[in-house]
Amino acid sequence: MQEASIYIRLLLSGLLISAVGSCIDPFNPPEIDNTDTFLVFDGYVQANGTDTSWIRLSRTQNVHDPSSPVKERNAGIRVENENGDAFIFLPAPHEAGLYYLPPVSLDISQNYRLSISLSNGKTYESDWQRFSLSPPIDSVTYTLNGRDGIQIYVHTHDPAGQTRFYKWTFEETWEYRTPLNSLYEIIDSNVVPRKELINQCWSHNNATHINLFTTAALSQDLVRSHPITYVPANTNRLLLGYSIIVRQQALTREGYDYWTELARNNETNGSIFDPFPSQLSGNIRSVSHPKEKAFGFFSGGVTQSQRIFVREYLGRYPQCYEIDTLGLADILQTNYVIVENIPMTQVYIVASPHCVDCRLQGGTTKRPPFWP
Amino acid sequence: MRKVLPPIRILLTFILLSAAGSVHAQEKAQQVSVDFLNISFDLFIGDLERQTGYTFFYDPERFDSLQVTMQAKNQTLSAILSALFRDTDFHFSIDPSNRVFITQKAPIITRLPSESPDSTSGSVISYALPDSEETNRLISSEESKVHDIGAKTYRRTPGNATITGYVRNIKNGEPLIGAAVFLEKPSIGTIADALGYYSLTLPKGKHTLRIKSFGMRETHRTVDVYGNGTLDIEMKESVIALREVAIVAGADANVAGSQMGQVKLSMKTIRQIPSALGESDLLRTVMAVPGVKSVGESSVGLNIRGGSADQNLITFNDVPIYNPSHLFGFFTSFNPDILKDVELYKSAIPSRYGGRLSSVLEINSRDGNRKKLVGAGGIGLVTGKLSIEGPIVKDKSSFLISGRSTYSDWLLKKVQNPSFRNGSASFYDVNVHLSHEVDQRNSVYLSGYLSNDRFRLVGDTAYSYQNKLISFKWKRMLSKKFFGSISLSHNQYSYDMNSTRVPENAFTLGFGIRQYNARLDFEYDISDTYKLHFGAASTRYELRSGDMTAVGEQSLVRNNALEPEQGLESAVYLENHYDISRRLLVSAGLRLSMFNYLGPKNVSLYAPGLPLEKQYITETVQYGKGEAIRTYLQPEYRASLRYALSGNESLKASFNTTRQYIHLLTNTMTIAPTDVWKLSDLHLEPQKGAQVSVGWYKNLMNNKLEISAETYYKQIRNFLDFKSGDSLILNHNIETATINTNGKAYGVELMAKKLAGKVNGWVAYTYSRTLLRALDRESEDAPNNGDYYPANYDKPHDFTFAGNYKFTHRFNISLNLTYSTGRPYTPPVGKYFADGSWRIFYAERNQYRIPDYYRVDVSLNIEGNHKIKKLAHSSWTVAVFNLLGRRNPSSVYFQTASGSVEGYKLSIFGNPVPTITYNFRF
Repeated sequence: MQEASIYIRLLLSGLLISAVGSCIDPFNPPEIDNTDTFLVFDGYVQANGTDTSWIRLSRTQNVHDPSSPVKERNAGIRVENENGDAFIFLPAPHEAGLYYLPPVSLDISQNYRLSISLSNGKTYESDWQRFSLSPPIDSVTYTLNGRDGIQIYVHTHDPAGQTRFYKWTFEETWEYRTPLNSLYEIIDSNVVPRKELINQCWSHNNATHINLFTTAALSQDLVRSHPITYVPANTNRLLLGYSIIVRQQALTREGYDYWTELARNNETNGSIFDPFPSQLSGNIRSVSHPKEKAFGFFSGGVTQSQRIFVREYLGRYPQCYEIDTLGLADILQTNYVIVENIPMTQVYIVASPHCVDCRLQGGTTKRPPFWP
Repeated sequence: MRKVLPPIRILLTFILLSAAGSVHAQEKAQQVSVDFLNISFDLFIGDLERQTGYTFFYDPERFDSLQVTMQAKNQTLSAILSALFRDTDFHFSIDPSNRVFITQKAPIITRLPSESPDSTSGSVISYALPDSEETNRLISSEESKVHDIGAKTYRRTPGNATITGYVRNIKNGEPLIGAAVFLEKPSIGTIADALGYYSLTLPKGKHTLRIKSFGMRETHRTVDVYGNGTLDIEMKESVIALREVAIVAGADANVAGSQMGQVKLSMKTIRQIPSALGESDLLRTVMAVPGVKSVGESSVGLNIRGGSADQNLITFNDVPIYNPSHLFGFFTSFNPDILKDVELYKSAIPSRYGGRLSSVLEINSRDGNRKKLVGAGGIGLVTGKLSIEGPIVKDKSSFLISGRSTYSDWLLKKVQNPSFRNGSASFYDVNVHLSHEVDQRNSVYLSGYLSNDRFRLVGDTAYSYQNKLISFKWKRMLSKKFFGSISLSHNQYSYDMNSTRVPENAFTLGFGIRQYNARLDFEYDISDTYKLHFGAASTRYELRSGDMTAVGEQSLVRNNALEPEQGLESAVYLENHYDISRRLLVSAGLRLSMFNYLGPKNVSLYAPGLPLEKQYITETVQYGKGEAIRTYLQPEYRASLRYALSGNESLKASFNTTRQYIHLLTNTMTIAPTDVWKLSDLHLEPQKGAQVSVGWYKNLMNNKLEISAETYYKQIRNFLDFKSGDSLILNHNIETATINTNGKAYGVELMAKKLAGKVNGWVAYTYSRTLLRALDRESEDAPNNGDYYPANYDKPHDFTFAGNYKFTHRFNISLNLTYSTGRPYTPPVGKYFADGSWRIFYAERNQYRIPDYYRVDVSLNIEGNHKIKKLAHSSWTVAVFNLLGRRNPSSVYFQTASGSVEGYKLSIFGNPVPTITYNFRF
């Protein structure tokens, strides 16, 4: 059982590493320059008729290249099934290299194939691929690890026993506040009541780990208590409201193997028990040059998701240590933000922006639509 | 003609006399004339013998400075001798058989007093009379005695005779293996075998045998060899040496033996090498030997001359051990206190060994003390150990029992991560060794061993593995030149892993190997220059190839078991050791090995000409119990020769082919605890190896300093590599996941070694390469596009210094320096952004190297005082591993999990690791 052995290897090497006080230091990979770049496919075809499908096309780059990926513009993307029904992706107006297919209900019983033609004339094609239908998520739950954090789990099952291979991603959203609430702002050197409060924000974070599981070794297609993520209390994400949406994707066996390999190549922990990294590309090939690499795995189907809210109030209330009382003239000399007016005076309680403006921590003051 | 009399000091020699005849009557008949000026006593006596026909017996050493000047005409012999010895304390006597005995201090009485009751019978025995004080002094020591070997005769027949016997420790009766028994002139010598038994053929006559054994006081025996006979030798320990100190083969074995690429490590050496966690560690010491490498610091996987870690036959008391490590490689799973020595064969593998490609690592335990009950123990940071040994029947049989165990989980509790803090890890090993000497010719041994590792993390995943063995051995001396041994043994290795965190997924996964071994070995010393080793061995393998079973009522895990595997590996071998001349020694051996892969088993057949892929399975054939599914019969050649350039310099060469029928399935950098073994079958051919090596050896400073240079070239065929993405555990068609790989390895090993003296140790430098290439170079699974790529353990430059300085008998300090080129790794060649994160991709395997490895360790041994009588002897070892705290990366790796590409290097022992160990014996 592959997962079991990987899991054990992680544990073992973790034990070894921790037991003798080993060290992990940064290591700069050698600067290997490749003038060749390869096509990268990133996307999923939503077959449920309600979600838009997105595909991104870009190029690979050198490891030490700090720039963002080169996008493949003006490509033609087409998904067809064995009946000959074809669906054409359209370039998204707001982002280069992004293509979309408006919601369309696709026949899950069909096999699908992707074809891409780039602006330079090169064409790529995927294998015929079965689309998979994910069963609904039974529940998303969590357990408390004392006051240190929470562990999120997912539970699902497929009574038909057809799914077997699962992949999960998640997006977590949390509310946070600054220690102080700024009631005034300065506009054109005038102190006016603040229109939009900036002490309450929401931030979000996407899964970066590849999270897979297969029930192939089980007598029933049932996933119980599969770990999704651990949220440590010291991130302060659990202090106020916390919400996580878990998205579940069913995979084909090939897809599962692909993702397993991808995880192995990208998420090793440096253990001597790690397998070799492998040359992995996916199911998309160049039509004209079969030896040319192309990255990405074309797949599609119906995904499922479930959101939960957690209110455990774990963590520490933020404190503000940079606080002062200043007159307006002085305030304008600094970057301090007014918190409050001391009544009957022209002096204001001011604080460093970090104590007041939650947006500085990366969040947005816009309440997410799903937030209760 | 010169006859030699035992020195006069030895007076208890029997003298056979003939009763009849009158001395005087005969003397009168003999008239002699002499006329000499300053001639040697020997020549003088020679002349007398010629004239009289009498035989003279005397100790020539006593007369070698004597010059004779004498003139006499027609005198009797008595008169001449009387004149010669006048005013000296020499005496002479002449017996009726015309023999003349020249003695010092007391004359030999050649006739019994007439009242003797036996005076009329045929032969009588007479004792010469020493003075009693001198006798006591003289006979108090075996050394001063003359040992007559063979039936004593008057006249020696010319030619050779053979002395055989045992060399033992006088204190505990243990055989002194490797003790050198030799003559200085002519230079003849031999080495005691594993029973302490030696056999030395030498010219008849009087000789002084010298006996040397490491850690023992050198001794000698004066022998007078008349014919074949026995002589047992007991040696005393040298007071400075500790009893555990094992015996190192003859001091000049490096140069004189035909064996090459052989390294013998004594426990003393092993103790001196500082180890990471304070325990003397056998395998870690072996790693300091040139030609031996390891992928990482925490691994005991040895890569010997380019071989993979599963290509080493590691035997404990002749029985293979599959996983000789505790805690995944931090400890070797043998209690160092009970070990005698470790022998590594890396180039010329004797024909009696087979079944692994690269090397043989022979670990031997000691026999228990045959004289008295003693014990030893120690406490280190992680483990405690205790051993007890003693006689069962004094001087005949002994036992040795030892145990070692972790005594606490404190190390684990120190770990910050809560998931480890709540875990537990423990291991133990137990050893029982019984030896019994039935009689002079027969010895039997019974030995048992058990090692067990277990740990659990956060209460939901438990992992355990164990090695067990039991062996019985009977050694018999069939004749003085013909030895045999039979051994029967059983060993097993198994692991179990279970996870119960989620009741629905609770499972246990198990794997095991059971082996039944029988072997028969003979050694026939046809002559001094020609020895024959031959024998047969057979091993039955039973593999539980892997099974996963559900645990608990709720578990949904489907039971999944691979069919068990059975195999029979048999071999016969014959090895000739022939000393063609004193310069040229040749040993040539042939091992015929056969492997039968046996049913019951269902075997998939694949369409011919197509790759072994599941979709090409044409049919599945069912084989019945015991039915041979596939048989491999192959010869293995073992040859080596030595050519002595001079007494202390030689050249050696060897050629070897080897076969391996059991393979470790691993696709990780180093052996992982969950790796499984697999027998050769219909599809997986045996691994084949061939090695040629040439070496030059020279001993300097009276054999104290050995220098050597060896070079080798090795080919490996059918080495297993694995396709990425295929699981190796519970894979029902493992042949579809394999890539057959060929390898080549070559290198030069230079070593200078000083074994004795205040400063001892060795310096070694190795240059070596190991390159692998897929057999099917066109396959899309072939790594590196079908070209050669360096193996994981390819570290071209390797330098080791292991030194020990003895300040006094109680303090010694050891220093260990290691440098090696960094291990190769596969760096990412590019990145791309997909699924919300950067991803990296790889191309050619192992084309870059991690930073070089450099480490210094130091340890100080403090012995308690050396009073021979006290309750317990104790010693302390204080050591610092990685003194400089250099963060030697054991691996580098790349992660994109945090959203960007991050490179890391992991060093397992990134800081100095101080340890303290207390050892005692009583």
